[in-house]
Amino acid sequence: MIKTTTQIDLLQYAYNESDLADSDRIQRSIDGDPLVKEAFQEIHQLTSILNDGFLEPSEKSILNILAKA
Amino acid sequence: MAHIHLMDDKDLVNLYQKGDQRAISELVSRYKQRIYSTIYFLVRNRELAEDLFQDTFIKILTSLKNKHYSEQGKFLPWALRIAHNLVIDHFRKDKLMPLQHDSEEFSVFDVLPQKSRNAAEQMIYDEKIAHVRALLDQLPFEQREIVILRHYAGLSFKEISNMLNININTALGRMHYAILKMREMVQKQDINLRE
Repeated sequence: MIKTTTQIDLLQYAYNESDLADSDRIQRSIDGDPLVKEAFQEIHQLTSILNDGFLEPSEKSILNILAKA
Repeated sequence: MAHIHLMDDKDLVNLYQKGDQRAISELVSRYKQRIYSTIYFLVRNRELAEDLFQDTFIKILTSLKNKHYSEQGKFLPWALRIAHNLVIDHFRKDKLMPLQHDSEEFSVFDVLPQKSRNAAEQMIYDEKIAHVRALLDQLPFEQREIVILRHYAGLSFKEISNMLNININTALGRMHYAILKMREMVQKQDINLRE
């Protein structure tokens, strides 16, 4: 039986949380189905930009913590 | 002994418990962005995020000094659980006094990590981040929480489900709906997320 690739599958794959067998199946689905490919690319684009938004605490906070270490 | 930057978290914890303060400095440096970003995007208030960030590490220091840290767990998920509990405690106390969110004028970019970008690149980057913040702000808390814990905390969906005491499928479902909602907002607002 052929298993359909769901949005949840794509989500886990985008975060490298699929197991090896599922990863292979999902990648083939992405390669073979333009709609799946588009859905995966959209997840990837959103996650990529979110990943770029890390913030830094102030130096003062760091110094306060280290003073109490 | 391995160079401190190359030591794993468990060895750094042991080193700190033996009295070497360089170890805690390394742990702070290693995880400050993940922990601070997680707190900031949950509370959306810079001053409060700074306070909760400090409180998180003070709790961590106390636990390590009292040898309450279990080596079975990983340091980051443990630290994030402390941070998350402090945020939730704050929200509970805050019921009578609504949280003052940062105003539109506040520039989150004051606290962005410095990367080498020219002025034009920085402007594009800033614009993208502003859109992302707008997207996150419009998500219901339960969905926003999952996005933040996955993206900024860097926890796996399994770790998130353990932390929040929810089923992993619930965590994945919330993330899925968050992605759908963000995609819809991107299309509606014609935001260009492509590189």
